[in-house]
Amino acid sequence: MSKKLLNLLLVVVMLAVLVPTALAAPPAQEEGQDYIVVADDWLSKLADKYLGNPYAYPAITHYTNQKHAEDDSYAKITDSNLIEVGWKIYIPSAAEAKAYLEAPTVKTVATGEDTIKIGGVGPLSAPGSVVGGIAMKFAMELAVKDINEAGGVLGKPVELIFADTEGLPERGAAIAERLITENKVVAITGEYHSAVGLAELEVCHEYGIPCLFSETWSDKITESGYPEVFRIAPASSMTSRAVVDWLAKVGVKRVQLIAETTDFGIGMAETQKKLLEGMGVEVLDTIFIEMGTEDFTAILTRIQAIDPPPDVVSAEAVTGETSYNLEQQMAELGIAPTEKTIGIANQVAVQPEFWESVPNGNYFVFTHVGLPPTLFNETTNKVADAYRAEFDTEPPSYALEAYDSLWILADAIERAGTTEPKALINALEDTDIVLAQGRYWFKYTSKNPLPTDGSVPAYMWHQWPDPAVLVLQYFEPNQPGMEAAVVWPEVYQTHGTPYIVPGTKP
Amino acid sequence: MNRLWIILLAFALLLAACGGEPGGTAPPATEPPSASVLPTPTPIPIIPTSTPLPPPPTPTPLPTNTPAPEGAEATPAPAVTDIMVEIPAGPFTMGTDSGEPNEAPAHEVDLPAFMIDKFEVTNADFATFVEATGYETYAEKQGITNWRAAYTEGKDSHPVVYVTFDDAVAYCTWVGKRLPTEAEWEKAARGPEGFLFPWGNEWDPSKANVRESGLRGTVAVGSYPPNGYGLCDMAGNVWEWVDSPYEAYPGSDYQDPKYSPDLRGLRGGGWFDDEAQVRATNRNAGDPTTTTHDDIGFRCAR
Repeated sequence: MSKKLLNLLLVVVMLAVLVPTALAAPPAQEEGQDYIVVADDWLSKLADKYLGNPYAYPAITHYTNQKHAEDDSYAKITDSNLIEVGWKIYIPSAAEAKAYLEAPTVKTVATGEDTIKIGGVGPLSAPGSVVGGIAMKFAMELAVKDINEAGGVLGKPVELIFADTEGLPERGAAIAERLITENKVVAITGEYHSAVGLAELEVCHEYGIPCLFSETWSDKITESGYPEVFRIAPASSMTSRAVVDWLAKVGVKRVQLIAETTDFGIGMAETQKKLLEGMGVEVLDTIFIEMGTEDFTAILTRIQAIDPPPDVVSAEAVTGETSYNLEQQMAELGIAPTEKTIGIANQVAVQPEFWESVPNGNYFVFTHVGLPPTLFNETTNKVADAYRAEFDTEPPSYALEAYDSLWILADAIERAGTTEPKALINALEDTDIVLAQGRYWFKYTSKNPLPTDGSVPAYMWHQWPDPAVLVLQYFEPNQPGMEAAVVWPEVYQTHGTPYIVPGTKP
Repeated sequence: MNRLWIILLAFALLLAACGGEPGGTAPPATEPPSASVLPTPTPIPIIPTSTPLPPPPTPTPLPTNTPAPEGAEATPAPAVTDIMVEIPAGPFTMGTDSGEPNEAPAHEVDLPAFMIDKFEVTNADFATFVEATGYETYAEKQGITNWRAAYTEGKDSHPVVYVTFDDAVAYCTWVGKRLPTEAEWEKAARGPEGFLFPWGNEWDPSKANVRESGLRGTVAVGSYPPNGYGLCDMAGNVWEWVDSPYEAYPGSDYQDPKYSPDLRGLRGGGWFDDEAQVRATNRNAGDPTTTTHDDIGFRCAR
């Protein structure tokens, strides 16, 4: 036997033993499977194990939730970072995962071939704020129905193509590109998460397609200064300002801020710190937390050790389900709200889900963007009625904004007489229309540029200047959000006081 | 030419790692397990290759008991692998202060002597059990992926997977044993030296079937060197059920929201796990009735 032949034999022997084992389980499974969660599981690891890609975890979330809709033995995943032991989830096949991850859009309204196509974007899956996305999609569909019943635009029906951005910037950018290049939308509107909006606006700018953001608060959205970018939600600094003005009125001296490490959270914390310090209020170290954190014991223990306790602990710059976790633990540990310390919650405290997750949440203060019910007009009431019928709760501001955003675009297209992007942008700048949230207009436009002396913040570019930003406070457990006391601004105060001390009634 | 034969010999020795039981003579069922029946662990030879590959599965079946003659006893001794190691009585340190919060605090636990299987229960042994009793696993009853799907040709000596805690208890009961408690399992896994891994305290992914091995599946039990007690695969290959609820250790102020008296522990990490999961102190847990995965198995104790 030659040396070469023996070498070959050796290789064959080793491969015969090793290779079948190494290839026994392919990285991406060919068939989907049910899976029962154990304590040490996390979705990206399961995606890595069964789909060969840790970033494919949104597909597990999506298909599990889809199964849940038909069979409640499957879990409903509202936050991909939070899965419970014993949950039955569905891990899709590699082909299913691929189909989902590459699918750009979900068509929700198909009204025929010759339509005016408008792209809607928002989160319908975790890690995005699913509650927000569902509300926005519902409101946009309602608006399309109303617009088409009123004769459509330029004699054609409007078609909404709504896509799930999942709260992921890279997905938002990919979706925006596909909406523009493949679906041929004339404009994009919606979006809930600032980080996703910032990714999307770059695509809109690249293609010159107008982008009307209805619920992204980061100052950076309109600070971009892009001609294509408009916003009807308040800039983060506008809401920060409301709380800071209120805190000044209440007379606080020392404030502890907690913020999430996102564009929104960092931006809000920085702005509030600057404004508060400008008013002589001491801001203790801002604590930054990751979205999805469940256990805040470590940071809350640090705050608990502060002596004397701060006048305010604010979780305003933490969003979604994460904010609920934080606020409940703040309350449970007796950090805030207390007689000595004001507790500020994120704006999602207005939702009924707040009380499910934060049963100890009485006396939390939170902001609310949007008109109080006393100032609802006919359109607001119409949208609110439809929203209540669907969700059995009051419409949040982002639902009203989403509804209005479709009408603002329809109005601009009609006035422009064309869907040509530059003409449409020009018409948007001239917007003057009363809708569910009041009169919309844009103060700083190409026709009225921002002053160059810096006297007006850059985020006011193509920014609706008049969103109503209220400061509210609960004073009874399980109180509906819109029945909480409006404590600021004074003009909207419902109980004649800027603050209700915990343990008392207004 | 001589060098090549040395390589072949080294490769053959590697196959016999973890004591060299595969291919050995089956001990009689009545023979008391003791250290003396365990072959001396064979040192791992150095394979002359620049890309070390993990040891392969053993090519031969594990020894089994000699079945008792028919009619000799009312309940014949199960003809399955029955190699156990005695873990001596005495205290050991359970948990660690430098791992995950649920592993703390490190605390002393004093246990009486007990016996524990040297190997994870294999497909062949589980098949014997099923054949003898007609047992149907939870996964089979549910019509979902079950142990038979994973028991493909050549996997007699691979650990059985897709078994729930309840399935594992059924098997152990049939062979006159039980599942180890979490403390027993950890004491056995840490070896007489109290190591974090079978081989010591430093992570070495070449010494167990783990994610970094890249095999993406089980290997035959006993494919890797044993720990100081002579136990194989106490790190990696499959997670192993233990008969203890998932609760905080005494003296711990950490409250894992997942703690529950209704869950049962899983230990040792599996073929897709990393250092943190494979460490002897790591704690995982699952629903005892419904959890069946392709990397969950068990071994019995007595």
